[in-house]
Amino acid sequence: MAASPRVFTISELNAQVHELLEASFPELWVEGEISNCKAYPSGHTYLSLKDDKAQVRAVLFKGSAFGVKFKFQDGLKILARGRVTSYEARGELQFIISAAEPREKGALQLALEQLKAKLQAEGLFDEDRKKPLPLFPKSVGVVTSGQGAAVRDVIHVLSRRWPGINIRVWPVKVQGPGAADEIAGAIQGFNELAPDTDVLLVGRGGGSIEDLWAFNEEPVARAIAASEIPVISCVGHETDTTIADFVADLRAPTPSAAAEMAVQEKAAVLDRIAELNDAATQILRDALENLGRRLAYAAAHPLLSDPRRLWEQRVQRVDDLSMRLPEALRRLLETRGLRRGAAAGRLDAISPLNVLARGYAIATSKGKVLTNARQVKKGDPVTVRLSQGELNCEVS
Amino acid sequence: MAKEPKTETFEKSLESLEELVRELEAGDKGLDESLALFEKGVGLSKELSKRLEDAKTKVESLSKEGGKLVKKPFAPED
Repeated sequence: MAASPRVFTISELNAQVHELLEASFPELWVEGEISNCKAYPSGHTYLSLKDDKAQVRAVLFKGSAFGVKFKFQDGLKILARGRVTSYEARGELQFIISAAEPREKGALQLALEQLKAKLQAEGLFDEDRKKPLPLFPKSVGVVTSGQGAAVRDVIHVLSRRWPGINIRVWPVKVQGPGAADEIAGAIQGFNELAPDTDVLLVGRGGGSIEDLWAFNEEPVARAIAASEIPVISCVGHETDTTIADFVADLRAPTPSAAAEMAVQEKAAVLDRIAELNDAATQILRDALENLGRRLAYAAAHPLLSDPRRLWEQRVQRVDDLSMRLPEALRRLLETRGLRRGAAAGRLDAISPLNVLARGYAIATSKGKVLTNARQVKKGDPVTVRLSQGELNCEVS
Repeated sequence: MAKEPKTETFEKSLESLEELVRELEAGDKGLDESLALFEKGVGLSKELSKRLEDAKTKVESLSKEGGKLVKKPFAPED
């Protein structure tokens, strides 16, 4: 007689499978694409890992998340290390991730791109957010390591370019755990406790991407974006662009370069002031010279240098008038004499021929004798009868 | 805490000086006005130069302790 088969409860079944799975698989690496990824407020992230034929449920617990520098998102191909187990309540196969690397890029690179995309979408890199730098800062804040070349270079450049400047160093850890929070805290500290600082230099000397990592972290980016004091970022040497560089109001390749950008050369400003002073002096000197020349010219004018010329003119005019006076008188008397003669010769004068013989003429137009210029108009024919013969004319 | 306007003022004074020289250069002012501008300009440039004379660079170290600002003279840590 066959023994009756053992009947498992579902819980028993799932528990046995669970044990078997956990016992049979050592920690292993899987490669797959993330899908159905959901981050819960608890800090755990649930997802599926799949290839083109199959998929498995997976979870990244909060406690392991610190080992994963980038954010899980759908479509991302990853190499994940973990163990195989099951979720007994559902009898589901589950892969518990303890570490992960993106398949196609480095984890840091990917995290950088992810944060960059997020902050960019928020508008934190926008040009119109950038604050202008003060032209003549009196105090410069420096957020960097209290040791090493960077801070010494910055102090050296600032005090060389603008002797008398007030330099405020807020020493921070620039790499390793906690560095980002210290950097962000110093930026906030300046804004809260020393808001009369005119400009902030935030950075460090060069290093590997891991060394510079703090400047790619969100707290630093947020602190720079929130800073009322303009920020010049200066991280590493030339080629490394960090998130801090994108958010800052101005980016300098190195701390020394940031110091150069922050303050002008006092000597050059003094030269400029002297130049303006000289220009004003020169302009005024020219203006005075010009006025002097005009005065000299005016003073040398013949009328001023030889005032006789003023009355010479008048003397001449008087002479001229006194010459014309007798002539006028003579003409007046002549006219009167003519009138007297005219009365005597009146009869004679009535004969037109006699009149014509004296050189007068009779003008007729269209058969009428003209006695008034208004009798004719322009273009009319006029016949002028002289003592001898006629002239045919036209009024012009 | 309001910002001290002093850096602004230096900037403004320098701008005034530049504007004043431009006005003089334009040459459309009477002598009295030009002289007044000139006098003001010389005064400004003296004042500006004087303000830059303070050459004592101060290097402080700032930190926050118990929510308060602590200022110390800065000495590199190495």
